Amino acid sequence: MFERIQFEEGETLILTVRKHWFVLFGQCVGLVILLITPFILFAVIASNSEYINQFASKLGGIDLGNVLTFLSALWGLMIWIGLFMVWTNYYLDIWAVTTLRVIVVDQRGLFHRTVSSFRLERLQDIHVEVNGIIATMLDFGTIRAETAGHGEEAFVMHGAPMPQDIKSAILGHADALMPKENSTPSHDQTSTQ
Amino acid sequence: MDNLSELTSIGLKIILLLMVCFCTIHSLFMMYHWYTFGQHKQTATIAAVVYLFGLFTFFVIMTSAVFTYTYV
Repeated sequence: MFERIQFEEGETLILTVRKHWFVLFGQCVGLVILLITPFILFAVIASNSEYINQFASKLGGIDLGNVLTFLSALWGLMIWIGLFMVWTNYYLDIWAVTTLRVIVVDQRGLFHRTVSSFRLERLQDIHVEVNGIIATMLDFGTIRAETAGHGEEAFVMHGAPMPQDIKSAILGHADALMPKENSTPSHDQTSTQ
Repeated sequence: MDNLSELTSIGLKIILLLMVCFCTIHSLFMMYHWYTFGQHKQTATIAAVVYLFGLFTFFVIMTSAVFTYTYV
């Protein structure tokens, strides 16, 4: 990915941020339950073969065992694709923090991808929100970076790991870019109040 | 009623064929994304191997179900 991004002279990559593993885990658990459900149902149905035979004879001699196997595998295939779509969105959603800017890659689907960036000089404030017991224990949350500009854009990442550390890293580099006379702790106003 | 059984068999074969076409195209696009936009080629390769193994397994099950389908 970074071969495609043109770094400016003197610009170096500081850190890359991907969503917390728990976000991926949470999305995958539901899909895994859906994946195994028909196989469990099929096993239960198969254990009552006499009812299957009765049902199949009513359907005009359809080979119900093979049809159910086929449909279960079809269902599993769809869920398998869904699992990897979730992983693709997780893997390709990234924040790259450099010494001069933050590059935000937002993968929303296979054919929906946005790459945007903002220069650290334009950064006005960063909000961090950690909501819930699990998020607090595992230390992940939402980071919202607000920038000066047309319409005051905000860049948001949900489920970012160690959001306070990321905030500190970004603000540290943003402050370093400020001219000395303007290097009052403007960004830390919210935390010191 | 024999027609229903035969139609079911043909229907399953058509679904299988459509899924093969869909999954081939979809997999190519997805792996293109992993290799082009992903950070590490090694991660993309591991994901591709796991993904294709899963696809292959499900297609083997579906194909064997279709071709062992018997007319009762």
